[in-house]
Amino acid sequence: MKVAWWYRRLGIKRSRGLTLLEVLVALAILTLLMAVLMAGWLQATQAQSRLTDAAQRMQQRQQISHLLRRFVAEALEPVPGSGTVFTGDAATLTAESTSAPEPTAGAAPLATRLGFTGTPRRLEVLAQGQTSAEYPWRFERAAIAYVDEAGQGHDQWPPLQGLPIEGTQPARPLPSLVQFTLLLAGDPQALIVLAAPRAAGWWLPEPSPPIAGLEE
Amino acid sequence: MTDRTVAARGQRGLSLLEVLVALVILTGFGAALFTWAGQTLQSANRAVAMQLETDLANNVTELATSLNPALRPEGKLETASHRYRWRSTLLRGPVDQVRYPAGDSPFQVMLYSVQLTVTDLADGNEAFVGERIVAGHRLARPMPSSGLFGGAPSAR
Repeated sequence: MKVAWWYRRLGIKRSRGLTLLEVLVALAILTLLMAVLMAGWLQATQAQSRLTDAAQRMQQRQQISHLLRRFVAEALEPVPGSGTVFTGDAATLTAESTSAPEPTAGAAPLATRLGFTGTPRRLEVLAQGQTSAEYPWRFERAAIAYVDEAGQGHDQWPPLQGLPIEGTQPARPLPSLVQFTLLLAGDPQALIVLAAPRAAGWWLPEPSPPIAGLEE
Repeated sequence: MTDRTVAARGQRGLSLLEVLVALVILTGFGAALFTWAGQTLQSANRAVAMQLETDLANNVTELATSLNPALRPEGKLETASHRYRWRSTLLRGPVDQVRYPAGDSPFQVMLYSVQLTVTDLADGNEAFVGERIVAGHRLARPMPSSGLFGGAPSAR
């Protein structure tokens, strides 16, 4: 036959085929290579999802810190006899502010309460007793602490004792620092937000955009 | 070459060697995926670390804002995860006769450079070292008890 002749000429034994050993070796190599390929793929997918998680958590942290700092910074300094308040305990903080969480006309001081309620803790902002904003974040732990001008920490404001402080006569009715300790659900790292009230001069209102409008 | 020889070669299919070479090239892609995944992880970790640094720097700024170095030139604050320490040096002042809504101000103001150091309580490392410029004030004269702003709380 002509084909057989060609095979002979090329030095190929026509019907030899592959031995079982050869096939097994080939399969082993193939499996090994595929394993490397799949592992690489898996790793890439995992890395991608971790990146997404981290980005989401970072955004949450940023939004929460921004909201809390704004709330504290815009709280009005209570002037004696004006009826303005700044009170708080470990879970809630009530302050008056000319910047409402929702857009309102005019700049009349508005009592706004920021609080952590329920289990797991949710952040809630109430203006004039009505829920004005709800946020999607869930906290495993949430605590507010207050630091006075002397550096003394308090669980509530105004503190039961310890005021007035020497040299700051009359005692400032605002804490010098508000400290939020938060643990977001699913976040291994606690979020600590220090927020300083910007006191005085609220008769010189500064226009500012509303707190609401945050989207996840 | 005749048509027959071509046909005969066509029936030969791929040799083992060829398949293996193809697979090795394919595995090259797998390795590239590994590298890519590694880079993604690295950038994720870096982003998280940078976010934590920014959080800390913001907290430092808020703490500096809350300080009145004229009253407390140094001190510390401890949170659940960090210890903040500060020391201040006078840059300017004290200055009298600052602007005040009604008459002379009872306050003296001065400018301080505040050196802040933040220690991570978990591992004891210094997480932040930096400076913030902070204004201080001190009551130098009695507060006016009457007038438009008499009895009003201190201007910070």
